[in-house]
Amino acid sequence: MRTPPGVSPSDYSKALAAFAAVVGPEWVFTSEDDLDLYRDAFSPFMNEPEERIASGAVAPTTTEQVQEIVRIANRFKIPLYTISTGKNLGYGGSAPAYSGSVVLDLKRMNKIIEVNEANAYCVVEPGVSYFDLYNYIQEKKLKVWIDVPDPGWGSVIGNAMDRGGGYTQANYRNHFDSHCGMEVVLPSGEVLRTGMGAIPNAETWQQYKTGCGPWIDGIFSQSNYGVVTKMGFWLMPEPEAYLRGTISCMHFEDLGPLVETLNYLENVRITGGFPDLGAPLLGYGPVGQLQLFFESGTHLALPPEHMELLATVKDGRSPALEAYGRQHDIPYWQVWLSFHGPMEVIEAQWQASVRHFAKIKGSRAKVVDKTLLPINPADADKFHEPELGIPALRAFSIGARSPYNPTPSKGHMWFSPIIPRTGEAIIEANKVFSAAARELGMPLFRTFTLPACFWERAFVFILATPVTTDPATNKKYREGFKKLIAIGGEHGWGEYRTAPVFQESVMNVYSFNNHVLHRFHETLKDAIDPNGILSAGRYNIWPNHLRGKDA
Amino acid sequence: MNRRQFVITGSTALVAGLVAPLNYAEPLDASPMVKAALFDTRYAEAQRFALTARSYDLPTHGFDGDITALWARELKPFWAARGGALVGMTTLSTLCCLEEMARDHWHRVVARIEHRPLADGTTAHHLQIRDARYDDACTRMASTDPWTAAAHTMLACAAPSRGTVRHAIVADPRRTSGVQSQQILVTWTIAA
Repeated sequence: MRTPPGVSPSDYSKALAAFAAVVGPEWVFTSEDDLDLYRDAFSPFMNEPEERIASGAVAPTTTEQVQEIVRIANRFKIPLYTISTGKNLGYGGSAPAYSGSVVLDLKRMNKIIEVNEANAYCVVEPGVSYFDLYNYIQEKKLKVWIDVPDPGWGSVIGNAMDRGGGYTQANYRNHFDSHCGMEVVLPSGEVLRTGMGAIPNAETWQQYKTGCGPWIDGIFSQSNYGVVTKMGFWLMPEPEAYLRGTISCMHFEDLGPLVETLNYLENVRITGGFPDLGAPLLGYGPVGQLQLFFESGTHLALPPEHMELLATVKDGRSPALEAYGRQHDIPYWQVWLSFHGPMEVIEAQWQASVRHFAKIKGSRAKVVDKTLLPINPADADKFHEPELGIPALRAFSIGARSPYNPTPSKGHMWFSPIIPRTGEAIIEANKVFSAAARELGMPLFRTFTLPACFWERAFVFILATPVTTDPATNKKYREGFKKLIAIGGEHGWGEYRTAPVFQESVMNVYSFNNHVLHRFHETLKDAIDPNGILSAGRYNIWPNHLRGKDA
Repeated sequence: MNRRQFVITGSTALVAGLVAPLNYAEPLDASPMVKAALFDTRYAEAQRFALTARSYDLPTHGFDGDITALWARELKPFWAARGGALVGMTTLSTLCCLEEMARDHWHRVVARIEHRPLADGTTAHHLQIRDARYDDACTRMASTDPWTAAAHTMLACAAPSRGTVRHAIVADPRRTSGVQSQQILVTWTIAA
């Protein structure tokens, strides 16, 4: 039987017995087969000695059980690692940051506490998936939408706590931002409620976020200061109609004005849906339309002449390719805009958007879809379902292998730096990262890469670095990934989220004033979790007894 | 009976070089734990897999690439009720998705065979089978039709046999029109 580091077999046995007394022996896992289920399916250390693995797992169903487990962990100094449903693939999955920890698996805590249609909010437990919440809303015929990532298989709380994003209106697709109130089991075993939840019997826990005094919710995200056992989220009232359209621009130089116009329209709330950038001439499909892109085989259809001209692209620019695009009416850049609301409103918003983009010479606008809501479920696959608040697994129907991807990987690690929201930044980041990636032999930033627009005020690249079956290649990619993180940091670009294997590298970039942020994190850790039992190492926050060690 | 040359490689290769084909086309005793079979209707090989499954009187569930509806309607409640084992032939991506969804109910892939098309039009069948079934699986795969053998093998693999997972590659030298779109298909068993 595996034993957590620093814990005697005798203490571990006692702790396991105590866990079993709380949750029942069938929900305490120590066999190799069961612990295999807590490996990171996309681990870049798969089957290598450095792979982070669990020594055990325990799956409670209630907040009270979580409290007891935390108290037991304190008594025997058992390192715990909290997961919601463990679907954070590409960012570490269900494997602990500190190898040998006992996974605190919250997927059995799957109650939907409340969905309030009138005030458009919900309260859920960590084991509630996007599918669970969506199905509940459909069954009860409630007129609210959720915002989902793609795929939609994960936990509503889990995704928000790692600050993931989705695809509907701006104020809902930043999943942490759209939360309102949380319940947290502290490392001491006490239960804390944030915001208005700190007032007993308050009915505004999910209506007013900050309560009074220091607003502490943020410290529980991407950290290890507590176990979130309930969380409230604001939901979008079901809109009456949906419109999506494209704005196409024909010249390389249009990227800057395109981004400026998009920024303006988003910041004044003329467009609120997920904007999706693409570069048809560069063979780069927009993120949300990727499904359609692959299903249509468009990526296979580039004529030989077009393929040859792609080789002439430098830092995104190619006059010859631009001329080819004009000749064949293929836009250089394209943005998909979407709108949700009453038809008369979204039509007006679209018209205003078209008027603003018309300032870019040669740009063209086209409505792709205009439909009343709700759509006929049979038509859902004509859309990118997440943009309509519908969770889906359709991304997996693409298939691992294609001429576009002849050697499918065993998974991927997401490289996700934040860059400024300007056309210049997109070009500069491509220039810097593509040169670095080439030198490092990393399969990223080829030809040209566009960022995603999950956040209204910044861009984020979301790029997959493959995990392979070859340990030497994986090692090369891990080391290259760390170098890209450092290079990004030199330019002021830091990751918004990352897997445990890179959390030290990423957090080292946040180095202002001699890493005062990191020292502040450690100060909080020492105060809140003196025994260091919760998720040691998560986002490079180590308890005192493990600092400076090769944990 | 046509002679075929099948090469099996693995940590304990049973046979190397030219072998006489073995008539392992007969069904074996499928595990009673297997309750249903899934198949991706886009692929002829998967449709043949479904026929094999039906020969065992198993209900089959086809889907056109997108597993979402089938998972929500059938698989989630099946796994939540610990209804038994499933076998299937799908793409690698779909299995990746199913494997993750199965974990929610403490189910796992207990056996798999990846059918990897090679550049020369032949196929390499990569086996990952537990100890108890390994020898039978390798022998069975060296039959006249590894695709059918894979189906029979998976149906026997649901029994709770633990032990080490062993790997083997069965090279099928027959040039076929290949898997549709040269996709990597995988035959698998998911069980508790």
